[in-house]
Amino acid sequence: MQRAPSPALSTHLQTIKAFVQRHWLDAGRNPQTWCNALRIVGWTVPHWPIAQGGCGWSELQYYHWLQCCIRNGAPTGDHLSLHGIGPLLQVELEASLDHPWLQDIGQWRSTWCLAVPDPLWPAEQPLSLLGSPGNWCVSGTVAPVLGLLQADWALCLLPAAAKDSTQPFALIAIDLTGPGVQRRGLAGLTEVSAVDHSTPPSQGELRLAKVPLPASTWVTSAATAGALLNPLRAFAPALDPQRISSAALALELADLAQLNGENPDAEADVQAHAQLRIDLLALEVLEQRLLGLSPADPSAKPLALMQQQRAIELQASITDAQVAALGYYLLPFEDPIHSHNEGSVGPPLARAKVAALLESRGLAAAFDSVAAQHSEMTTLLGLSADQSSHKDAKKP
Amino acid sequence: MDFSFSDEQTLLQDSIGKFLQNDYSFETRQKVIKEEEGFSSANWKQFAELGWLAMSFPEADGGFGGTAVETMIMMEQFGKGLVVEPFLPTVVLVGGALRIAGSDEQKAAHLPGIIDGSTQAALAYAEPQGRFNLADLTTTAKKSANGYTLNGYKAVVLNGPAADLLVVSARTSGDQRSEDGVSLFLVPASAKGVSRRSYPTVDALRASEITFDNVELGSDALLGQDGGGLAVLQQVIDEGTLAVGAEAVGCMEVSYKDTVEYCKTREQFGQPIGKFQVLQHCMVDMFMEHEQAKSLMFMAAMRMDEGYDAEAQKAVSAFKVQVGKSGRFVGQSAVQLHGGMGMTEELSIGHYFKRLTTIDTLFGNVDFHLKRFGSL
Repeated sequence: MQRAPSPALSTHLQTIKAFVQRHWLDAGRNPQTWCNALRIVGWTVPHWPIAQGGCGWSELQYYHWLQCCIRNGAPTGDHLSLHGIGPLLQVELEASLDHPWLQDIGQWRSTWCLAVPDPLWPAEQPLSLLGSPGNWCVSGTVAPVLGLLQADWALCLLPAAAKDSTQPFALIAIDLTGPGVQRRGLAGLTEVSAVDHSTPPSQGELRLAKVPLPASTWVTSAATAGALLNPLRAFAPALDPQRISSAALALELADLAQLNGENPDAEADVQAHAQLRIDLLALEVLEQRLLGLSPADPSAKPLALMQQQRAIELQASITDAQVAALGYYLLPFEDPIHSHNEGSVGPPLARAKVAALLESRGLAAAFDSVAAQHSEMTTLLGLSADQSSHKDAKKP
Repeated sequence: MDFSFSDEQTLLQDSIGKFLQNDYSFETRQKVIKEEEGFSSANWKQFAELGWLAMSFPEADGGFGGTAVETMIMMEQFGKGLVVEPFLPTVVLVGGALRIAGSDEQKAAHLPGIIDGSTQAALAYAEPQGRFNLADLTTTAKKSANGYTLNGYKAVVLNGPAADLLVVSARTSGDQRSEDGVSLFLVPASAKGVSRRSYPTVDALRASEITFDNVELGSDALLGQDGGGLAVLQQVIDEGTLAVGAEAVGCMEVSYKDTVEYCKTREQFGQPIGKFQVLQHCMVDMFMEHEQAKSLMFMAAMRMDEGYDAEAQKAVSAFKVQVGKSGRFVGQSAVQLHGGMGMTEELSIGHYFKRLTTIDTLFGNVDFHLKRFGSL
């Protein structure tokens, strides 16, 4: 056991630190300059296999790359596209690795969203397939679709085909700028845009009106769509490392320390802050423990779920503490006169913090509720399997 | 970070695991704790023969050159078996004090006995008024013609009843709570003026209240520098905190796993109680609390091996905070999920709970270490 990195990892750490320093910090934190530098060196998707445009970095190398970027505020690309849909397309489009979809995702030129009907959200007009072989088109609505207004493409699941159907596909790609496509934002109780007016709603409704489906938009058939989509269904935007990795939470904690520092309060605040730092330390170690486990290790999956849950809980706790530190500036004042002598604690910061609070609650509830995580973990821990029933087996 | 054990460390872990499985059943332990000494001399001898008592000492002192990680491995295993043999007071605390501050002569005089199992030792540092402040001392050691004269009172000295050798903290100068002027002394338990009142603790260990009444010590009894003992004592206590925390992690693992097994077999309303969702969620929380403590245990052990500094102290305090919180949750949940059976003497689960509860207060509780972590 040792904390010090191996010589190879140490070299990697030095390389990535120097890169971030030169192309992000020294370049004035310019996203375009950063993106160009990444494209030149080929690090937009370093975790992808070399054959598919990546660098074939190990999980450990990529973890440290993300941590380094996040700590310094450098963009790391769209989470769902790079870690969810991109790898899915790699599997399904194996025969054509130079496919423009993959190239665009890999170069951060396009962003994707997932348009899968939600059984709990009855659509006005469910998706339906029209036409005949050679002349397919689709109509209907899907909601809610996360990231719809920011995306260029949607990966869309069509309803199950009838037994006698000749429909050769179930998973399709919809060009969101194409004809027949309409998008509108959906406001919600936890909607960030209601607080931060510069941000578009994070979710929306997708309306398709006779959108043609040429063969080039077919991703896969019904036979494999389910297996492909299952990992994506569990893919939670709330788990974006930009939000909940230990590096991201360390930044939030530093923010909290600054807020508390401007208005030093009781010893209870100091103790609460110390507790958050301990939780963060534990999360960081857990992340690193996971990197050392092979996927076949039986403890890997429960620990991965635990890491996600702890991270979401910690994010919520830090946001709570930030909101408490903001006090009455929690209210998103529009009039700047209310904050004329409050330094950094003013409406802009308050709006951002309230937005983060709502976002964390909303996303956690929608995708990673504690109950859902617990249920999966109970299965992994062997509690849901068939169990022998020896009544009072251990009674002395 | 590399969390893998070396081959030697895995061997050590396995050998203790096998010993516990074959020779240290819960029933055997229950018999041992009822005896007057409170532990098995035969087991202690076997620990020495297997080299476990030598593990933490440098090779130059007759040990195997083990580090904090080896101690962590051993203590975690001991926690799984609720081992009552006095490894913590004799090897970790007193052995640690000798390793850190002992002169060559002092090491030569005492370490061989600790390593071969013939010497039992105890660290007498706590006083009733001191709470967790190591510098709060009313025990004094005044300079005399031949050395020092020791007077005072020490509370809850673990392994006090069996100890042949005591390491005692006493004030040689300064005020009652001054950080300067604390010194450590090696005191034979049989010295004139030493009296003990011994008792079993709630977790079935043995401890003593020890009074020192004009105990005459030679100048060679001073361990380390005169007045500079607090730093040594703090390091020893931090090493002990890591060790006892690792023991708690072992206790938590067994408590959690035994509870899962019990809930799979115990039936109520026509089905195993493990099928009830509320209980399942509770067991998942137990799993997570155990793993959270384990993560911080690894961090603390690695930090201690890098050198004893403020960062190592912080890591130890963070670990102890987590151990206090997790231990309480896991122990209480295990008892709750076992129902009334969790309260019985015959079932091990209540004994793990008692040990976990004691560990929470040993060397500083959650509040103390949280405050310390924040101040470092």
